Amino acid sequence: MSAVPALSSEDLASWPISATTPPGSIPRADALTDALLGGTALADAQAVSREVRARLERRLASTVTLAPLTHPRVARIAHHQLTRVLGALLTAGPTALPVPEARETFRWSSRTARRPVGLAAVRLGLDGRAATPADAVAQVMADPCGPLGVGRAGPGSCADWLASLALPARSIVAAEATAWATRLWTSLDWGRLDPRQLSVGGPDRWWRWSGTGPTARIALRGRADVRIRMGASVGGGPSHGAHLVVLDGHPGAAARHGLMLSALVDALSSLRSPESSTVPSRVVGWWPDSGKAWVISVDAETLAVAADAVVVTARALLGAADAPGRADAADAPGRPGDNH
Amino acid sequence: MTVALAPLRLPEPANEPDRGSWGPDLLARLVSPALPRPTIDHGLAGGLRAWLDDGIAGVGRAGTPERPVVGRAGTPERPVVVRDGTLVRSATLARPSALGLRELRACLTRMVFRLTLVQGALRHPLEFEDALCAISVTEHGPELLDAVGRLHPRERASLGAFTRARASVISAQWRPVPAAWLPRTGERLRAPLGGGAVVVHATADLVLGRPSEGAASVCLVRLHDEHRGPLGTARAQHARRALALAETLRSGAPPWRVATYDPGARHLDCDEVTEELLADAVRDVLEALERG
Repeated sequence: MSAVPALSSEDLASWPISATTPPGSIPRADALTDALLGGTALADAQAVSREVRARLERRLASTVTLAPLTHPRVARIAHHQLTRVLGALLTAGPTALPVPEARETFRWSSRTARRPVGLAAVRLGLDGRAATPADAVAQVMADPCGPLGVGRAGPGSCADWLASLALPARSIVAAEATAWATRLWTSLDWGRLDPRQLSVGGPDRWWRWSGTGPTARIALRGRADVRIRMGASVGGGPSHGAHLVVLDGHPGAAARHGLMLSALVDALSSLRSPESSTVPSRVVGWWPDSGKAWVISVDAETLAVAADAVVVTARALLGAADAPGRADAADAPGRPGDNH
Repeated sequence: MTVALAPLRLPEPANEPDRGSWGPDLLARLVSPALPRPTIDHGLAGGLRAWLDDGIAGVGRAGTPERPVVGRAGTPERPVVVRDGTLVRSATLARPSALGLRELRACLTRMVFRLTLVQGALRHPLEFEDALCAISVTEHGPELLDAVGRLHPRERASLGAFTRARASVISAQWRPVPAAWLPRTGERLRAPLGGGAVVVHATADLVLGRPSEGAASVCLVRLHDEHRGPLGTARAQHARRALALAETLRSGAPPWRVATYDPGARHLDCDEVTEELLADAVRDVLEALERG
């Protein structure tokens, strides 16, 4: 990893993350399943993860000191924020660094609810409780707060929102969720995946960083729609995994960096709890609207670029002046702070 | 979360519905097995993509003194969008202030169609209210409701009557789709071409059938309630071809059938997807780009 220089926003464009595309053969589910299962474990994943964490902490510490704050502020960086900021940088150049936006108001809608409902529905199908996506969605919608529903109830939760809807609104949410679930349901050859090592729509994973003093805090969110774990029981080899991430539309300029976010968060989490989190060997991004699929091999270089992409995004979200060179010159180890 | 996996083996869409219970409705007509489903030509989608990419590479070339540049293609950063064989400026929803009665009628008809397919006929005489209730939770619901709220009372009453009339026709001609046919409603199709310089857009209001495993297996329907006469016929034809092309490019397999449904005329136009139809769809895209 030491061969990868610390990147500024300008450098990201010239240091792309490479991706391959699975063959376009029919049936597509075979090709996507092959892509998901085809990785090999990263050699010395723990050491690589430690290096990435050190790099990220050092550069974040350097970045947040560029914009000293009078009070702590949190930048939450998920796929949406990262691809938005990097997309602007990579397509229009460093001068297009977005100004910090007012916090977007989240609203549950048929579009935002289709993923949690759809994932719960696919789990029902995998458990053999539903024969079709529409049947599975109907079960989820019948009791969204229940054990087969979309997760915990509470103010602002998807479950509470679904339970509050009138029949026509529920019907259209169910229709959106059925379409979403059908795509995932038919995208893979599930019979080839080990059910004991499979997680569909597990909880998002987080990695948090805060410097010392009145500096900004960073919270990274890693989200994958399907996580599989491999290798642990085969010949005692090192455990590794793969992620499938389902996205809308078609791949944009920062799609590769966005895909790597879930791998980065899992790599950082694996240092804290290696038994529950492994470094994936591959991330497969899939855009059903356009039929596109990209496969990214996770290694030291791609993790390092992803970490730098997070730093650039944090700069933009925190409103720090983009000062390439200054952050990169800060080669001295940063203060680790409260990272977990 | 780790789940106990039962292998998913989804049933194939039925070749023929039970005509006794379905009667002469349009869903039965859509999936009637008039012809055997064709086997997929595995090279077809790649060939169409290559043809389009070659054509797009020529767009924007030097032309005549009267027309110095022929056609218009975008860039990966700002792609040109071709929808239903026509170049459009933006793929985004029109601004709320630009939503007139015509656009609202189309939105409400589309919603009535989707609701009828997933839950059955809407409650009479509350079809307008039920459609608005469903629209309220969609992505652009607040903007659409705002536009409805700004209508003159007379226009609003007219919109309500229109929606009830459309709901009456749609519920007489369509029924909820069996779950085994894997119905999807409101499906967006996108096919980026020419390195992302051009994106072909299409929206299917109904998709049936599982992804192809060797034979054509998918039916797509687009609601087309906007124009009548020769212009309307031509636009509906473009819409069907655009659906067929976008589905072929994204899935690698041509669909089985594409259809447009006009509830105003109570008419379903359905095409078997052939190589000729797809070739016409490619020409539609290239001609739209050439026209600029």
